[in-house]
Amino acid sequence: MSKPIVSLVNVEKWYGTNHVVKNMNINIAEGEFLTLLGPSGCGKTTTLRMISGFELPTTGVIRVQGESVEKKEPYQRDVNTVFQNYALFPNMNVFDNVAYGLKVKKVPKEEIKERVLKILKLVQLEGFEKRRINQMSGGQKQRVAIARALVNRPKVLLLDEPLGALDLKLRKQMQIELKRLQRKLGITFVYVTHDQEEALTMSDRIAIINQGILEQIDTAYNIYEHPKTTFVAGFIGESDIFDAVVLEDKDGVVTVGTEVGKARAVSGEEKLAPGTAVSISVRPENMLFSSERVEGFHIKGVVKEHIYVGNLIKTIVVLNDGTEVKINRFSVDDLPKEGDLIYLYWKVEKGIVLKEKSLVDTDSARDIKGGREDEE
Amino acid sequence: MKNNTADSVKKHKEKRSAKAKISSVVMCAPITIWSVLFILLPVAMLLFMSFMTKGPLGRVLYQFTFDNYAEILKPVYLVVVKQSFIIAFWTTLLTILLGYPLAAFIARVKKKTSGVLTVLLMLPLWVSGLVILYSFVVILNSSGTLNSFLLALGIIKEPLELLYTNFAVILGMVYMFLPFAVLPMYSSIEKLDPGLMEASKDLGAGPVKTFFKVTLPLTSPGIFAAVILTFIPCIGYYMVTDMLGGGTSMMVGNLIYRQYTIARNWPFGAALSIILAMIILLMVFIYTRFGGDLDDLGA
Ligand SMILES: Nc1ncnc2c1ncn2[C@@H]1O[C@H](COP(=O)(O)OP(=O)(O)OP(=O)(O)O)[C@@H](O)[C@H]1O
Ligand SMILES: [Mg+2]
Repeated sequence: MSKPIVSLVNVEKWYGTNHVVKNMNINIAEGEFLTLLGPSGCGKTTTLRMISGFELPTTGVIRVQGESVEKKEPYQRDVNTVFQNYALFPNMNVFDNVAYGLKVKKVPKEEIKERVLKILKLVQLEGFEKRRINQMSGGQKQRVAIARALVNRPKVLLLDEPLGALDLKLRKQMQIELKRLQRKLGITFVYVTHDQEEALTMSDRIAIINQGILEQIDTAYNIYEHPKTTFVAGFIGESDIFDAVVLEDKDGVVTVGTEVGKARAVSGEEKLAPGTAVSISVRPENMLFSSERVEGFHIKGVVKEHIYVGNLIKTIVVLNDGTEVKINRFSVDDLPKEGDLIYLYWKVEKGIVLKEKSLVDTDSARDIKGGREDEE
Repeated sequence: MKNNTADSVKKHKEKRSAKAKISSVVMCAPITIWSVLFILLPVAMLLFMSFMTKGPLGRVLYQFTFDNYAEILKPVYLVVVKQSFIIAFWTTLLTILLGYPLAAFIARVKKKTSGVLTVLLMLPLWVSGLVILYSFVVILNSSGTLNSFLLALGIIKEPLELLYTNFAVILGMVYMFLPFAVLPMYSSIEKLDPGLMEASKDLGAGPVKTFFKVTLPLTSPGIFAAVILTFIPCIGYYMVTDMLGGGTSMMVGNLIYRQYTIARNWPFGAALSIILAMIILLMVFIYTRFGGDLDDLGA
């Protein structure tokens, strides 16, 4: 990556005894659309607020354009935020809201007018200058909020679930508009959402966060096709996950033993020693079946039921240890009958080996484990 | 057949609406009677009285006249009006300046603490005003607590003339009205979305700019409510001026009070009351025009 515009180095955040962000390391490239994705309470907002300056990291460094921003107040950083609930000033009209940042910075009147009108045109709000905020619809308010941030020409725009309050249709439309806007202006976007579809459609890269830990940061394609942890495999799309032990790692093929029988998967960069505990993840649409044993695989089960989900048919198969596995098919042709005994297999390259390890040091990993035990 | 059902439905509706009408009349009756009896009627009587003529020995002659209103324009009384406005102005200003930070503080602390603080703030309201004002006399007089304390410390050589000055009056007024002023300001500060302050900071405004451009305009209804709740009763409140002003400063309240007691000039007292009521109405009108909520005044 070229020189990052924002970088988080070993950032940790504690609220009292609550460890909210754990050893976070992220480099964000200039002009990139990065999405922070994770379940509720995983620390997305906290991470964003540390970049904007409303929270300070407990330890670690945040750099914007190579410079540590530790001593800088939010209003001194070259970063603007679009807040989740818009946070528009109700005592001002649309024009004054958008002009706020420029007025505060004492930009000449003429220039303010020019820049505000231009940005309003960009977000398709021409002619709305005099409107009061409470006379705007949700989608329009959202555009005002975006215009108000963009008019300051920030280096980085932070967006905290900006589309969260909109209905599905408007949401989809705004997703496309936002992406187009970002491309056009070339501004770096750091975008928070817990909607995986939104993340997949908009982002250049996605950072998956779970309980304050950065699980994986990569392109949408890689996150989907090559998840690095069981969490990522389960959180993005659907996965059938098998606990397994490595039997052999040879010629690009890993052979593993699972509770329900032998299976194969594709080798990673690192050679795995026999006996290593791993997980095997397979997407339900990549799951194949046959009435006979397939070489290298020995997982069998009984077809329990078919579930029709619009254009998709989900087949639930019960394995001999009682666990259920999903198969997704797009056509009803040659589906097995309910009650049939079938052998499951997949193309070797569709089986992904997950080492049960997150991208954090072992201390933090132990931390989460401890936390999980506490909850029980 | 169809027509029939339509008719019966219509009849049924009429019946129901008639019933609803009766019940709504019955429901509204008590409050209506109460309002007429205790609000409308006294005001009407006051208005009527203000146009009557003063008779000998405090009697009222039932002859129509505008004299009472003309009387107010006499210099003697104009001085009182002016004095009232000056004292009310300073009282209001100081109450707001003291009350706003206090309200902001109560709005910021944790829920539990703010509950305790609100009770503390309300405490003086449960004590008789007379007792409070006497304690001010004790504190402020020339051999009182404050003077003895300052003398003992050697900060002053001679006791200060504190009691029976405008200073004492304003101090007493501020003390009396502070709780009433803090409540509406607290409620509007508490309603304020902290995200707006963050947005302002995010857009480049420091704390001072944020306060004047966002916080202050958005809490102004609370401030205006506080102004009304301080300024208006201040003009009419005669106890503080009586006890801490020692007759040196007189306010409209004192004037009205005297018309009904010592001077026995009820028509003039009524006219003064009407004028005062008009000023109040005007201020409330301005308040609502600026988007103020009448509910906040009742807080
Ligand atoms: N000011 C605070 N004081 C104490 N704890 C906090 C504070 N802000 C957040 N937390 C805690 O930190 C954790 C992460 O919160 P955060 O708001 O970053 O989550 P999030 O990923 O944005 O979730 P969501 O998707 O629900 O918005 C939560 O457990 C939350 O309770
Ligand atoms: Mg959040």
